[in-house]
Amino acid sequence: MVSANPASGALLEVKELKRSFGALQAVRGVSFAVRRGETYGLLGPNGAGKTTTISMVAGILRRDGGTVVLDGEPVTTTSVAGRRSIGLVPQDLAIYPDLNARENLTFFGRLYGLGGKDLTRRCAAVLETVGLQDRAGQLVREYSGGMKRRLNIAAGLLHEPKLLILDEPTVGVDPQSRNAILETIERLAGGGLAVLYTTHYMEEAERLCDRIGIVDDGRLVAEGTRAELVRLIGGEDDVRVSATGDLTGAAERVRSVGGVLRVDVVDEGLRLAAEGASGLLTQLVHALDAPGVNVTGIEVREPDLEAVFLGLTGKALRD
Amino acid sequence: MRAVLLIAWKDLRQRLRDRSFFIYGVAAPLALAYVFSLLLGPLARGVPDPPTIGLVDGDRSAVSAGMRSLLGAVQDAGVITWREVEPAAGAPAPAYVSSAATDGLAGDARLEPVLSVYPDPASAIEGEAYRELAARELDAAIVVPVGLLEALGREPATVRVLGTTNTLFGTQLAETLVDSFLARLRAGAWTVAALSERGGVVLAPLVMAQVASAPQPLVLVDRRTSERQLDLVTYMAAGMAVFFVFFIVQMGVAGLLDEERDGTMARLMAAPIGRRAIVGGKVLASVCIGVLSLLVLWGASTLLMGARWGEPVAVLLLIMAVVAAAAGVLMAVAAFARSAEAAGNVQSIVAITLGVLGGTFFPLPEAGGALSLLMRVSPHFWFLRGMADAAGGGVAAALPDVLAILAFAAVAGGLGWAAFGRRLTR
Repeated sequence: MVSANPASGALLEVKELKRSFGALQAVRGVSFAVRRGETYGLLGPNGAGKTTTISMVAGILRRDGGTVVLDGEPVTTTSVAGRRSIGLVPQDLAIYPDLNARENLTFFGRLYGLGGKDLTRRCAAVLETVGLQDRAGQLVREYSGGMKRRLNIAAGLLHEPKLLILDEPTVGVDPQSRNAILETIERLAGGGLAVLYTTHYMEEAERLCDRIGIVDDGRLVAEGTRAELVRLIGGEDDVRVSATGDLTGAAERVRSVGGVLRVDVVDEGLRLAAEGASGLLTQLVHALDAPGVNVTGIEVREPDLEAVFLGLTGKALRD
Repeated sequence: MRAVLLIAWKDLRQRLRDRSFFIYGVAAPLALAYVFSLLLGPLARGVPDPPTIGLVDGDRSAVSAGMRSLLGAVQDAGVITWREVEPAAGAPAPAYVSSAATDGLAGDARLEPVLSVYPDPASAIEGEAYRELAARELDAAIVVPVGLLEALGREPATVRVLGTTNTLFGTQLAETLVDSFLARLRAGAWTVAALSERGGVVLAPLVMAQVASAPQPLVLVDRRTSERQLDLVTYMAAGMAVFFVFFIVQMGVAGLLDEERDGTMARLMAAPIGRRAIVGGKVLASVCIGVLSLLVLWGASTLLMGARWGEPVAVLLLIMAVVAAAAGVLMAVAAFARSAEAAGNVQSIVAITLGVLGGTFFPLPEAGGALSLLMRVSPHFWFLRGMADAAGGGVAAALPDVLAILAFAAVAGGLGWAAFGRRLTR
């Protein structure tokens, strides 16, 4: 595995997790750590082993090898103490449609030992967190898909866990609800909650996660911040110059700017490959400022996680 | 235990809210049982009222008093009701008459019932009896002739049975009683004959009167428990109830697989509770629903259909046991199923097969061999047999059946418990 920033002082430590289903090795020695207050993302395509990994982390699934320790407590399928500190938001809607939101939360809260006024207070708090306080008495089967997703998250937050695990919580959700869910997670993370987040949506990982683990074929192939991951693949920035006029002359002058690797003349103007393009903007503007060239715009595109995934695995993220 | 109760309570609330409990547990079994009872209407009315037999006692002697004594004893056993009919002349009505003659009682002691066709001009005291037979106030009448006691040992006398073609059962019963009575008189005749041969002084009428009025030898022995039968309405109600309770319990047990399918199992398994608590909660909910549905059916079929389930304690024991058996066998099936749908299909097949084998739709004959063996594999069989046993013998009689069901529950439930435990810790 390529690791750009090993964690230290971690709340969750996962070491060498392994799990096979028959001949299929679903998880092959995955290790990572999540710090307090950190949002850690597991990014990978469907079938990469993300859900199997977090199922073992949450103590749902027996593991063939490895350890999971949360705040000093081992987490296993039989340990109760470790699981008490985890809030799980499964990919499937883990709520009962024939119960209303409050009944769902009350049931799950009691399973975690909550009761009385404390439970009432927590139910009210999480319903407010996900914006369902006005629909608490409504049967879940009457909820929209987005509302169900939000209640699903609320159930994971109810007992004030130290670590919230979310398994692709926005799958099948409309853009508006998706944004509401992501905002909720951002608020929770901003409040100091450690979050372990799995997704195959690059944009979500970039938006939410402090650090990202790239998962493919049951392995964690790389981890780090977005910038660290981009550096790992030596990514080039894509610069697009919208211009008209003497584009050939302009291309010659731009090519002489240090850091510019390639320049092509295209229909809309010029397209450049450069390292650290954001720092070259002033020099590029000077090079383009010449008679006979009319520049209308410059756009810098840094490499994204899609490119990182492609660079590390040779596959597209949505393969 | 707290987690078990929490999960059970949640399940109960869901089942009541989605109305599946009412549909499968109450409405469907009641409707089916009612339809069955209608289809089998004549039989469903159960044992007919005992026939009413009239006694026309023209003799009023100690001998005819023996006849009364016999009729009283049989009435006490609930087989007939009888009453006196005043000897009176009247217009004869179409009837058939069975005459049991006392011919030769004092001689060779032969007794041959004779069937003859009325009118018999020799008799004129049964007019009122004919009228009541025609009015269907009587099913049969026994006519003891005037001077029977005096005639015994000297000349033939005739005790007649009157009946109609509409009351053959009562008439035949009356004939049987008269035969029985005359057989005692015949025994008395043998006694008289024997004493006469030895030269003793015998007052034949006196001996015959003593024989006739001696305590009745009739002893009604309660049938063996295994031979007891439920009336058809009760049988159908209980059969449908135990048949459907397997489907009710199936819903609860299959809830484990539903939780897997719907994703809620992941949250349950992530909670700080033991895996066995999840299984335990589901089973407890299933048992509660099953017991509740059987209690409802018990009460409803009693009130609405006139079913007689018998000794309450025995019935309660049978209900608890059969629900436990249902939970056990259905849990074992579900534990090996890949999905809730697959489990539902197999569970339905198992429930129907066990129900048919157990005789819930119709009583199966105890013909011995493989069928008898297969019948005993079904908890339905033991439940219905326990009901029949309890109907006549109470709790003690039903206990072997309860134990048989519990043994079934233990084996199937143990298998299911172990398999589900392994499934949830995979």
